[in-house]
Amino acid sequence: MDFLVTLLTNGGALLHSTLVAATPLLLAALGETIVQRAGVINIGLEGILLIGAFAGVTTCYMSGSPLLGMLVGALSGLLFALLFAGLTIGLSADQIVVGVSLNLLAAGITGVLYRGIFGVTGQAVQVTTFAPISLPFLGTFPVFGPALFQHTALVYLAIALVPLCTFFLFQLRAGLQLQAVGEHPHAAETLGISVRKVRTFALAMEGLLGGIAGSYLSLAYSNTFIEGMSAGRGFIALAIVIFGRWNPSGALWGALFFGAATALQFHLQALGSEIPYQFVLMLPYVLTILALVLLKTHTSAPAALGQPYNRE
Amino acid sequence: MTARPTSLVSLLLALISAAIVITIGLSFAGISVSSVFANLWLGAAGDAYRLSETAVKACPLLFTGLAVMLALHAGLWNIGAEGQLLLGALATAWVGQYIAALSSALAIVIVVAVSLSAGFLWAGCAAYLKQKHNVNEVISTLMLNFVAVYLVSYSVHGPLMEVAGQYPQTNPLPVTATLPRLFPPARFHLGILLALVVALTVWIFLFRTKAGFRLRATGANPTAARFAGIAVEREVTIAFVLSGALAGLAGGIEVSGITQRVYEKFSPGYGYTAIAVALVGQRSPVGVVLAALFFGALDAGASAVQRTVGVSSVLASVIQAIVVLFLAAYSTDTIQRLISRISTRFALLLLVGVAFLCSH
Amino acid sequence: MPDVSVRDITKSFPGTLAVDHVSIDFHAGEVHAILGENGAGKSTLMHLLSGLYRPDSGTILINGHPHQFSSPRAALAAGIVMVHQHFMLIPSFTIAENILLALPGSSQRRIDRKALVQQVTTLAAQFGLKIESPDTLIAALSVGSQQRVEILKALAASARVLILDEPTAVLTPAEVDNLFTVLRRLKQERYLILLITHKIPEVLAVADRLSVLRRGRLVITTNTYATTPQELAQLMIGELPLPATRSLSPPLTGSDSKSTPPPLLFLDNVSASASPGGIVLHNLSLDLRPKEIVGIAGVDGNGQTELIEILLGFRQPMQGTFNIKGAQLTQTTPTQMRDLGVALIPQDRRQEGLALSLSVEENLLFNTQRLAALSPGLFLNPNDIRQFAIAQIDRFGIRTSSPAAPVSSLSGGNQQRVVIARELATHPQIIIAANPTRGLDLGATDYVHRTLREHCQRDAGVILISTDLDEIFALSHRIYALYQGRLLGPVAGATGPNTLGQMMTGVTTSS
Repeated sequence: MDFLVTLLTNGGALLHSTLVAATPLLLAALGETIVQRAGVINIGLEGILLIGAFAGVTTCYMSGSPLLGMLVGALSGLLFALLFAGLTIGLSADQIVVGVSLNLLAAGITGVLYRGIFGVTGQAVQVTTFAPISLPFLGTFPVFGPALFQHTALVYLAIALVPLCTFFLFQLRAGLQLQAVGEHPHAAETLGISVRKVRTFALAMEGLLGGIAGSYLSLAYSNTFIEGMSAGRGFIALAIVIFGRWNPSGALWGALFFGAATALQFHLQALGSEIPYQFVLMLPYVLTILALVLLKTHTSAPAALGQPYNRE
Repeated sequence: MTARPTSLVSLLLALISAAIVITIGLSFAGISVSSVFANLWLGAAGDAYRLSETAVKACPLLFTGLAVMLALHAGLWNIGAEGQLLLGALATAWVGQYIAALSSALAIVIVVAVSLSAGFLWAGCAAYLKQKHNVNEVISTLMLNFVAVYLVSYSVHGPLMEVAGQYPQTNPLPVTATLPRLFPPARFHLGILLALVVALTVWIFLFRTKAGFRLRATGANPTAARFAGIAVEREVTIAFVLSGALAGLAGGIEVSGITQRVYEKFSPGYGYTAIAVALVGQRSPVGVVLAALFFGALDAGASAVQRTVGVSSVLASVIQAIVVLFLAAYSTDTIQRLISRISTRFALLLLVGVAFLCSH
Repeated sequence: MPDVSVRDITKSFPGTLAVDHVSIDFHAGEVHAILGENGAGKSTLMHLLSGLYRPDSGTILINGHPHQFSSPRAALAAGIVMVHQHFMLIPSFTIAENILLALPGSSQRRIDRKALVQQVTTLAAQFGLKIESPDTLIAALSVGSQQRVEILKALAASARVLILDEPTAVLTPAEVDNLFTVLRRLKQERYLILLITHKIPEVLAVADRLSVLRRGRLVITTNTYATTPQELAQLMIGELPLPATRSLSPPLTGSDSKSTPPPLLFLDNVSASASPGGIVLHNLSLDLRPKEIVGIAGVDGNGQTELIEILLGFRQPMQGTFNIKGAQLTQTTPTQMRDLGVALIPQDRRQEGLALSLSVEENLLFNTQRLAALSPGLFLNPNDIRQFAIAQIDRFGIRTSSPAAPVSSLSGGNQQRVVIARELATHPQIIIAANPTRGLDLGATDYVHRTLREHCQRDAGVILISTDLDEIFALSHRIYALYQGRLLGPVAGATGPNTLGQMMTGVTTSS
């Protein structure tokens, strides 16, 4: 009973934290959803996030504008993703090796450049961040007003992207062509669709979204850059894509779920719960595996996922 | 064992290309290229202590690299080495509570057995999910990696937390279960020699036993293997759990030889770097030993670079990543065909020449 | 509606002249069959028309104007579409979605599903194509339905010339009739239908004119009514060498087993289901005795794959008896079949036979029994293996720089020698040879034939499944044909070649 009371009073705060934590996950997962729908697995998403975070912070530090930081972050992510595309699609190199190496590269480059540019100080660099925007009227609702409608612009952007991506994938011919590439690349080629171009486009989109997600981490979620700050979110995004059954709306639920777990860990003690927070954090991963087992989710995966396509 | 000359050429070309790119990058940033390379070398091999540090840093990469390599020979990616390593370390810390009274030899044997088993079982989860429920092993092992990280976090904050209760870490292993240092004060420990023995064992297994041959046959052509009467699914499972065991052993040895305790962020990504090590090692145990030493040397050297030149020690990761990316690119069919058309000797000479020019 | 012509068209691939100066005029409003057996060049010719390949020389004319197609998309722009044997449909999409993707690029940026459904339904009705609701997933459709969707796709893309590649391979007789009705309807609308096939009865049922290709050359173009099935079979197969004087023994009847040795292998009335897209086997009866080579002729896709799967233990017979060396088999596994002495020289040595990344000596070991025989314990002795490899290389004349060389560096003929060496090293008694000389030169072919005969002398039996009739006749003691999952034959005597030709092409369906 006490638990419920505490939950309700903390509910607003919990919801707010959930949305904040879910946003970078959602952006990254949307990008990976598009890419996997085209048949590619990009494990290097983690590296894209990190690069975006670093580029965002550095640009903001030098220019004072978080918006500019985000744009540069998006572009850096794009470049990284195109490197992945060039190697795996252009040269047909192994997707796993390239993905893992790009993560390693991102960790290395951001670490080296961070030290190089900002030097070794006791304190972390601090930058101005995105200010929360309160939506008119909606933001003033009791309890849930602030929770849902007083967020930085990126949160709204991420949520708005969900119906946009859904529209693209399922209502536009181009989206159907992209899905065809992920299901049956050979058939797509006979229909005149260029598998290479479509996959490269998908990766470019992911690069942009991942870069934005990364810069969100350093320009909104926090106000600084810490080495390795992506903290596995790129891999979490991979789980969310599967959890959401390769649908943008599913990705939203998945991101909220993983975000809630992240948010909950801090509130658990306040809620007086005995559950160690690590198990809460573990839960989404275990459930993803369970989803794969029970819901036969592997049958909703794009049929040609992960198989490189070589034009004869 | 078959020698593949094109692979060695690709590796050499990759190393040279990486050197060129690093040189260009450093010059662009206004950093003295020669002092970086000099300190890399000194940091890795400048004196006996540094050499021992290279070996120390190479040790976990060698075990995990062998693990990934073994799975690769059966045609699989083991992305779960990270989680298997953590479970091996955790199991070692756990069993450490009970073996203080035993003789050193027995304690170490138990450490080895426990960490092998932990990795074996953790990989077994993913193998079971694949066989019975057709769950993609890339996804399941990635998820299990995270579960492992949180298990470690929970354990070091809770049931396995040190008696002193000050920091989130386990009790130190009893001295009997600690791998002895062979050349004190250097940190070179017995586990490193054990790693070499394991590398030899893996080689013998893969290239001198029937079981190993069946495993390689399965990876080389599963269809032909099936026609030959090999039970492909069984071979794949065996490869996967053996790979997991090796990764688990990596964790146990690292605890027993170096850290004595387990704590959060115990692994700086050994399991993922292992993938790069396996690739650079060209899928041969000897190659993996050399690759692990190379990566370890870079890690050791880079910390020296950080102290002297001031460039962050994660430079090692940058170099490692660039080498692997070039190698991945040069190993593709497209580039291979290009290389064989241009005479390989000519290409090598050309690149050596360019590298020479760059450094001056 | 176009008239299409090919003039003096030629196409060669490394090692083969696939299409040799072929000239044919196709007329709008006709169903024109392209007849030929495996390797005749009919598929290649049609791929030239549909834009997948580019001709080495010669021209393609549409209504008198020359055209060059750089890709299938270009051919489509000119109105030519190929309906492949293996459908290019996306199983998880609906009928409407698949057709949408085939529509010209400019239409429908935004998907209007209701309009699309309407469009599809109208189009289907226009041509009498019975399809399910356009919202149905392809995966839920029967093979016949899927084929109709493919045809609809082509029509929606404004094709005027439809090329159908072996369209009836996986259809039931009712679906075949249905297809022919559709084709006749299309013909009335002045479409040009090109039908690639090897089945003579179908040609007679639906084609107006036909062209016969053999070994890349045009044999004849004629009206269907101006020829007979027997003549067509002969034209397709050509002049075959009469079987050499060898005892063409009658098949084992079961009661008469006093003077003849017991069979090595015995299939009686075996039927088997097929994987999706495969062929169902019907009431197969086959026996193999020591010292004999049984030849099974037939065009690819008539059940050869399924038969091999049964003989090797990958597929279970659903009814009938399966007997090896007297032992009745119920649930079979590949390991079991290997232990019983069955060996396979597979059709595609690169995909199914060899591990290209391994060395020659490792490939020679790629046989669990050989492995067990060579090293009874846990370990492999490299010296033993090397000696064994050298002995095999010697015995089978494999040309390689060293036993440790990667098998991918060997020529095709030598690679086949490795496969044969590996398979025959354990002295199997039942050898299944599937197109064993495909892609090999004369010398290598000769070697393979000699080797098979030699092993026969030593009490082994060979089941030779081949699309090469010269090979069948050169080697076999008894000859059968596989057509639509049924085994026909044996053929005997001087009329053998003709009868076989008729069996392979469906002219004769009784044994």
